[in-house]
Amino acid sequence: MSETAGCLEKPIHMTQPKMQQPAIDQPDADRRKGVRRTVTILVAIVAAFFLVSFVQIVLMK
Amino acid sequence: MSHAATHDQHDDHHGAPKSFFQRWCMSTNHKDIGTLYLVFALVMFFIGGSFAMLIRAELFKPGLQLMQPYFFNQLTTMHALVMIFGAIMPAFVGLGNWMIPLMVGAPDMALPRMNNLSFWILPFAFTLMLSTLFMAGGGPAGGWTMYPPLSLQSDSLAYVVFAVHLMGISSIMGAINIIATILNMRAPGMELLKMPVFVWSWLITAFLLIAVMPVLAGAVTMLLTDKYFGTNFFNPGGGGDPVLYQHIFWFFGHPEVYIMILPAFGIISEIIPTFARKPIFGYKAMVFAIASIAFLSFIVWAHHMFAVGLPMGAEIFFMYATMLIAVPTGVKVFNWVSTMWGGSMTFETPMLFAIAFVILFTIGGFSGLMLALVPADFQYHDTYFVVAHFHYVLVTGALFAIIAATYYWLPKWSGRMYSEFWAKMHFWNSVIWVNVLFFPQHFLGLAGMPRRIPDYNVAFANFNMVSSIGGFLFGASQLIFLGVLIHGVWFSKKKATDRVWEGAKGLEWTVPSPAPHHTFEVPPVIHDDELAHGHVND
Ligand code: HEM
Ligand SMILES: [Cu+2]
Repeated sequence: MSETAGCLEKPIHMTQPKMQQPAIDQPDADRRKGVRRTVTILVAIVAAFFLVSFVQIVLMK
Repeated sequence: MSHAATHDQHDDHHGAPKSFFQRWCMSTNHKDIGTLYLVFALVMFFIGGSFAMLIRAELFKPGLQLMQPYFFNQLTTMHALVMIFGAIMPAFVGLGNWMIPLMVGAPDMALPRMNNLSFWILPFAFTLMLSTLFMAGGGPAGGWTMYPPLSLQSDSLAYVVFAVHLMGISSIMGAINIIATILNMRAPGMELLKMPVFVWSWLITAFLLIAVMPVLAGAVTMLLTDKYFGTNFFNPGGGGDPVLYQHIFWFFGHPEVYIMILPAFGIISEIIPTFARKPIFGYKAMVFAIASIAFLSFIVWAHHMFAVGLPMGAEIFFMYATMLIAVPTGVKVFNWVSTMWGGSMTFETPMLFAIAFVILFTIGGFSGLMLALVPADFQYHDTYFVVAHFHYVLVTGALFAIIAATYYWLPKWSGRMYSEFWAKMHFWNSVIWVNVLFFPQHFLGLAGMPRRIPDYNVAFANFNMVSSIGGFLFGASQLIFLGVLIHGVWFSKKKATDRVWEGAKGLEWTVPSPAPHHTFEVPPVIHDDELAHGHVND
C-alpha cells in the first residue's frame, strides 16, 4: 500500500515523514514541465479571446 | 473545517507555526483555500438569501407593502448576482480545491499561489458590488442579465462592471489551476478514465469557464463604453443594436448555467454509488454525457431570446438544439437510477439530498423542455414559469448537490461526524418547503404573472402567499444547516473513521480524518480495487 495509506494507524504527525522526497525527482520535473505547458496554452487561449474582443470593441466603435 | 488548525504545527514542514493571518490570508494550501471558498460561499448564501426573504415578503400580498419598486428591482438583481457568482460558483470551486488533489493523489493544486489570488479577489469584488446598495443612486436594478438600455440607466453600472471583471479574472485563474492540476498532477496509475466523475465534471467545467468568462467581460465592457465613452454598440440611435448584447450575454449565459450544474452532476455521481454500494452504472457514458452537454451548451443560447423576434430559421435551430440536450441529460438521470437499482441502499443525509436532486432536478429539466418550445415560450417567457424552472435546476439542483457534498465530505474535513438527526431535519424541512416555495410559481407563470415585479394582479394572490410561506420556512430551515455545520466542525463528540462511509471508494478516503494539512506529498501507489472506477477498462 502507499506510504500514506500504510501509516493510517500511526498518529497523524508521523504519516508524513520529512525526508521522503527522492534526491533526483524525475517525475516532479516532468510535472513542472507539464504544468508550464498547460498554463502557457490556456493563458494563450484566454489572452486571444480578450485580445479579439478588445480589437473588436476598438474597431467597431 | 478549521479544526485542522490543531495539527498545524505537526503537519506543516515549511517553517514556524503560523498566525491566523498567515494561515488564512497567505495560504497556499488547497485545503485551507478550499475552506475559505466554502465559508465565503456560505456567507454569500445567507446574504443572497436575506434578499430573497425581502422579495418574498413584498410579494406576500398584492400591492406595495414594504418598499419602493426601484429597491425591489435592486433586490432581484443583487439576489441573482450574489447567488450565482458569490454562492454557487465559489462553493463548487471550494469543493474542487479540497477534493480534486485528494481524489487524484496530488500534494496540492498545480499553482498554489495563484490559488490564493483567485480566492482573495472575491471578497473585494463582492464588497465593491454590495457597497452600491448604500450609495446615493442605489445598486444595479436592471436584472442580473444587465440588458441595455435599462442597465445603462443605473448609476452603479461602473462598480458592477468592475466587480464582474474581478469575478471573471478569479474564475479564469481558478479554471486554469484546475485544468493544470488534473492534467499534470495525477498520481502514477490514475489514468484519465479512472478518475472520479467529480474530477471529470470539473475538468470539463473549467474549459467552459475559460471559454465564456472572457465573453462576459467583453459584454460588460461594451456596456461601460456605451455609458461613459460614447460608443454605440447597443444604441440603435448610433447604428448599434440592443439585441447584439443579448446574443453576447447568452453566449456566455447558457454555458454559465451548465457551469453551475456539471460539478453538481459530478457530486451526485460520487454519492449515489457510495450509498447504493455499487459502482456507477455506465461510467464512460456518464463522462461522455457531461462532455456532450458541455459541447451542446454552446449552440443553444438563443433559447433565451425567442421572444425578441429572431428569424424563423434561427428559432427552429435553437429549439431543436436545446431539445437535443435532453438526450445526454436523460442518460445521466437513467444511469443514476440504474446505479441505485438492485443496490443495497442506505439513506444517510448525503444520499437523501442526492435522491431529491435526481427527482427535483428532473422536474426543472422538464420545465426547461417546455420553455424550449418556441410557440410555448412566447407565452411563458418573462413569467414566473421561468422563475420556477431555474429555481428547480439551481436550488434543488446545484444547491442541493452542494449541500449533499458538504454532508458527504464534512467528516473528512473536520474529523467529526455531524448530527444525523439534525441533518435529516434539515433535509426534510428543505425538501418540503422548497416545493411549497417554487411549485406554485409554475401555476403563476402559466396564468401570466410576469417576473421581476413588486406588485401584481389580485388574481395571483393565493399562490403568491403560499410561495412566500414556503420561502420563509425554507429560509428558516437553512439555519438548521448552519447549526449542524457549526456542531459538526467544532463540537461533535463522534469521531469520523478514515473511510467515513461503508461503501466509499477512492483515494480521498485513504487519508486520515481529518485530512492532515499535507497529503500525498509522496505520490500514493494506486491499486485499482481501491478506486471507484479502477476496472473500467477490464
Ligand atoms: C434540460 C435542460 C434545460 C433546458 C431545455 C432549458 C431551457 C431553458 C429555456 C428555454 C430558458 C429560457 C426561458 C425564457 O426566458 O423564456 C431557460 C431559462 C433559464 N434556465 Fe434553463 N434549461 C435547461 C436546464 C437548465 C439548467 C441545468 C440550469 C442551471 C443550472 C438552467 C438555468 C436557467 C436559468 C438561470 C434561466 C433563466 C435566465 C434568465 O432569464 O434570467 N437551465 N432554460
Ligand atoms: Cu439556457
